Amino acid sequence: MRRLAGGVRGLLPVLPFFLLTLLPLAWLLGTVSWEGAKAPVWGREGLLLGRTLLYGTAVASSAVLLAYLALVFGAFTPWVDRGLLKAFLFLALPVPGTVFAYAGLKALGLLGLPSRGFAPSWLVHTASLLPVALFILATGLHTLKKEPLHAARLLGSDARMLARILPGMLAPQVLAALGTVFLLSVGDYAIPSIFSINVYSLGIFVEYSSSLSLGSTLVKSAPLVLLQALVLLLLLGRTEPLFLTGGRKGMLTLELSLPGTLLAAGGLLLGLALLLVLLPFLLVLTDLAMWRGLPQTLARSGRDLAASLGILFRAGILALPVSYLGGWWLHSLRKGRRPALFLVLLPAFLPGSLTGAALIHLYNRPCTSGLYDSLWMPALAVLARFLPLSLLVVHASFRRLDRELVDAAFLLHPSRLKAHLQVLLPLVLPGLALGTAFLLLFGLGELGATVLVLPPGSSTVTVRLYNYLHYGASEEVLGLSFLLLAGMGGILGAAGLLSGLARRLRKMD
Amino acid sequence: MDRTNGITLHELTKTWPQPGGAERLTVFSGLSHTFPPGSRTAIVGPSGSGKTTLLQMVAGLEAPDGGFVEAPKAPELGYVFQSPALWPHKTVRSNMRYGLGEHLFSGADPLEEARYRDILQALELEDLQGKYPATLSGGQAKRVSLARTLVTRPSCLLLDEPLGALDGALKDRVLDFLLEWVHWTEATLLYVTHDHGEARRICTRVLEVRDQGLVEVG
Ligand SMILES: Nc1ncnc2c1ncn2[C@@H]1O[C@H](COP(=O)(O)OP(=O)(O)O)[C@@H](O)[C@H]1O
Ligand SMILES: [Mg+2]
Repeated sequence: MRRLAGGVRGLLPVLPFFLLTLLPLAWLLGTVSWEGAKAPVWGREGLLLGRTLLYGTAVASSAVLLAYLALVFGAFTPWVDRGLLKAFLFLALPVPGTVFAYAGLKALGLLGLPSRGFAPSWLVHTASLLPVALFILATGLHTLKKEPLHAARLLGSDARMLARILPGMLAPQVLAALGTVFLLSVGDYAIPSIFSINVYSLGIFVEYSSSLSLGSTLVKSAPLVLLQALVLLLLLGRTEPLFLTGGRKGMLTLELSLPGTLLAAGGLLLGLALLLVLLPFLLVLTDLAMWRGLPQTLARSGRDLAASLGILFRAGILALPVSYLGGWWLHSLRKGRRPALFLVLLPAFLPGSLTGAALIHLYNRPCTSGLYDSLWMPALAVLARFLPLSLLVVHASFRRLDRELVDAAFLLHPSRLKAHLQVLLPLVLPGLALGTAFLLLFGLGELGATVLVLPPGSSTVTVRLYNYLHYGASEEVLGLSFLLLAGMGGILGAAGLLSGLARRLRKMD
Repeated sequence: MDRTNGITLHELTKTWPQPGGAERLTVFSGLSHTFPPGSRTAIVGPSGSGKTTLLQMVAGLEAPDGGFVEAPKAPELGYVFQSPALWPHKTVRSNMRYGLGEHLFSGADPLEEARYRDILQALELEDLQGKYPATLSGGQAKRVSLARTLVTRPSCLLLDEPLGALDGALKDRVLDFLLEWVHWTEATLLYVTHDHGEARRICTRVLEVRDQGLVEVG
């Protein structure tokens, strides 16, 4: 009994996190009425699932391969400014799929290439998730030990080290990147649907919006969700130690001597990767028609923009304490880290439509009607999908703290609350700002759940953009893409300011 | 043996950046020294004095801030790092064979194969061949790392505390074998340790890192 109570108390810090992320789904599972739920048509579902798997695998392998080759070149030659590279990466990471879809439509149109079907969708989806792959692999390079690589260089050649040693040493990160990109690509229908290919997550959306039956939606989602859970579980089995490393300061830099052809190929690939990643910025920001039409865009979409910002404001306020507490909980966890990580990460990969349906089921009742008809619903959707991200970032900041420093904080301060507020919180504040910024940035582009839970009559910039995209790369779409990029810039700027301020405050005392 | 495998340091200066933007730490300044071919020199000094930094510069892995180094390049140069630096995804066997390149597998030279076996036996690694580095003890990993370099028969050998994780009788046996190996190959040896006894046993000169330079102590 005592142990049970202790266990529950141990879970307290992470309770808000799970209330916001997994509770709606758990509630849905527990209380849904199966009456009238359509039985799945196994042959058809199986085929669609198979195609989706193929699609996700194609996107994941091309994104990770390109990221690996480009990064290796970027990290190991003297010509690339790594600071600049990192800045680009941070900028491109949260660009929403819908903006990539606009850039893809536009670029394919300019090149006279077809904009329907598997190939264009695959290409654009690869470009949109390339920053994720680059980010995970770059973090991996960050934590690699130098000596084994040097040993390989001395005992063989630099080229042989790249071919035989580095891939093996980076294997966990490569796997993590493959898995993450795969899970993200099969959970999101925005890009495939705009390029007219049918994927499983679109099927879930169609099922819910046509039948409005939660039972049918759950049945329809089950195969994809089970598959995603399985992939996540396998992934954690191989890559869990990645979450334990705090990360070394300073990026790994080796200046290798490589044959000219290899250098040329690497440079080309890095160029290609950067071009793909920066395409949205290039195509949107350099378009004069966009700047000319800006006043009109603002006038037309002012309400959408206000709604988007209102949603993010609400989400941000809640995310700060919840991700701090959750990050602390994960950091101080001694046992059962793998199941904990599984539960923490799972919500991030669930199909957005399922998350949206679960939120509706939980909050569409008389006692919460004030909440249900407000922008709090899409804010809850953003939290349900992206809190895992901010929690992980905060957790990483905790890991980077000195063990002794944390212990000392609790020894010196009589109350735990004081230790947190006066010592730990200021120390992880930059991480908290960054994590929340990530949540807001990804939240700005959230589509799958938001589209279902928006109060009647309102829309967000992303939802509007997605709706217009079906009619092609019009000027309207251009303006909305700009608004999203500008919103990202604003969030990044604010986060930068905040973390700068936090650093200044810390220096002062 | 007619190989120009000596090492010469010319006016070496080396500094490291300090955390928190403090002034750079000067480890060496104006260090000049010659290690003739076939000489055996121990480098001693307390930890943090710059022994590893010196070897890294000799191996060309760290550039000095001033001056330059003349030393053989790989594969004539062998360097056993202070950490075992094994490749975690390869077995002990493939770790050890990596430096032999492909030629051992194609048209295997029986003499070379025999030498490989000798080293394996002397460092008591025969039973570990199929294991992965993560399953080895610190001392075992260190011996694999040593063997991995010795099998390539470098004519200039840099060892950074190679026996640090070994103790007792095993340490003596490995030391004996190393001595035999160096005599036989006539390699130039730079041997970093903080054990003066060990230093005297294997080397003819002992230098200490002191005042940003090297001082002869025995
Ligand atoms: N990569 C590095 N960056 C910054 N400082 C370093 C680095 N490597 C070594 N140092 C510093 O240089 C000094 C000498 O280090 P090292 O050569 O490893 O000493 P030793 O091998 O004698 O113990 C130490 O004060 C160490 O902190
Ligand atoms: Mg050292």
